[in-house]
Amino acid sequence: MKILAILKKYYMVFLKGLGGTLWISVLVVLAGTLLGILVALMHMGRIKPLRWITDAFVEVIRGTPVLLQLYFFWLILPKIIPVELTDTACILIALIVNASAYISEIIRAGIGAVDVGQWEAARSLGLSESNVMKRVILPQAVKNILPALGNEFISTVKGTSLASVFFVGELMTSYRTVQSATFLALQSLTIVGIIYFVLNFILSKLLRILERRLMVSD
Amino acid sequence: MTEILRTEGLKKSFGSLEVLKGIDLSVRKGEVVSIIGPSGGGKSTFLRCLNLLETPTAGEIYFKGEKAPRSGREITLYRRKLGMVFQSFNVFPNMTVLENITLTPTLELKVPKSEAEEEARSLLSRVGLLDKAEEYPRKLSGGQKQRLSIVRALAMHPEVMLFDEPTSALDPEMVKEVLNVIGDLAAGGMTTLIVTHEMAFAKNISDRVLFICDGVIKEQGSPERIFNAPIEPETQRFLSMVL
Repeated sequence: MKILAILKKYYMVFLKGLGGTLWISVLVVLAGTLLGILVALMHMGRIKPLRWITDAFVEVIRGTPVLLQLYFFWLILPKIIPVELTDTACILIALIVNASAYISEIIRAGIGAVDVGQWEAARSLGLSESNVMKRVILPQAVKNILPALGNEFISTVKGTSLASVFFVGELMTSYRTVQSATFLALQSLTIVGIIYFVLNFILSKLLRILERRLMVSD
Repeated sequence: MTEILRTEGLKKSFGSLEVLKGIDLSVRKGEVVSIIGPSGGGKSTFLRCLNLLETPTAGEIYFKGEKAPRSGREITLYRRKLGMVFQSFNVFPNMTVLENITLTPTLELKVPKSEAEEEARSLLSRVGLLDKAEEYPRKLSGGQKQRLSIVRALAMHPEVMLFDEPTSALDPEMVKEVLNVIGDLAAGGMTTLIVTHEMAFAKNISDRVLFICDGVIKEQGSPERIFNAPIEPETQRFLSMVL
């Protein structure tokens, strides 16, 4: 019953945290996908130095812990960027960079899975290289990678919880706020856990529906 | 008649494997050329080199007397002059039949959508697929997919059509419907190069038959000559096995 009491008193804190988690997730997923497409295209492109750079980038991001990356960006960004950055901005950038590396690998695999005959047919018609990619290959790749991309989105939502280390306003920060005000750690944690679960459950159902929509042409 | 396509000493290697060992060929406008020969002999590679899906290792290709480009945007423009039909159809599964056809004309030639669709429909009716215009390719049979891929190529108004074993992946009962379309096209004056294992068809529609084996044109001539009186031992052996 303590849970209900906490909810009654602090529901605004949790709602604010949920709002924070939501906008951070949406931004990270969108920007991470755009950046991920760019990284994937450079990784598969003809320009060798770009290939090496993106390859190294992906390996480094995958080979180091997210939390370390957050600290790293939090420390280094204010030093190298002339305009003043808030903690939130540093953490956002770090999360976006992290997500882009993983998403680029998913996209690369998805593009690689499109039948080579599709490239050849599109090229033989006289489509420009960019239209071959945009109109023929990417739409088919997206369908291949939607399940993996969905997983990545869900882990992005969960990954935003690490931002609480820097007291960036999201769900995990709400937990820490409420916990320190009430000393009821287990109860606040349960509330936050349920919110995360419901959020991701809805997200995964939505993705399932989207998947089914896209399967129409098969 | 005037020459439309010519190759000089065309060679292609994959690593240390030399698949084409120097092909010299001149094709006249409107000519129908069948290419026969054993698997692995270089027939498909030759066809794929013609529209630069494979980059030749050596030699030149001339289209209407002009050297084929080697790189960049020029290749895209060059390919529009040659339509290609593949063994595995390669229709775009994420688009309707109509969209498959109108995609490239609307995007690259800036043909207005309504105009492109009108032409697509008239092409579809020519090959008996008009009622499938709004379907996705998954609903089509192999023969229908291949007819679609032919009209998709035709929508770009190519001056030469290349067919790479267009019926090899088809169930036997569908071979005829595809061959009829190709036959009509050839009879209508389209310059055609076709790699095929359908010997009776090659005999019927061709002006000339090439026998490609071990990366070279071993023998060529009128279909009557090649099929009835082959000179080279390789040709004789091959024909005795397939006929």
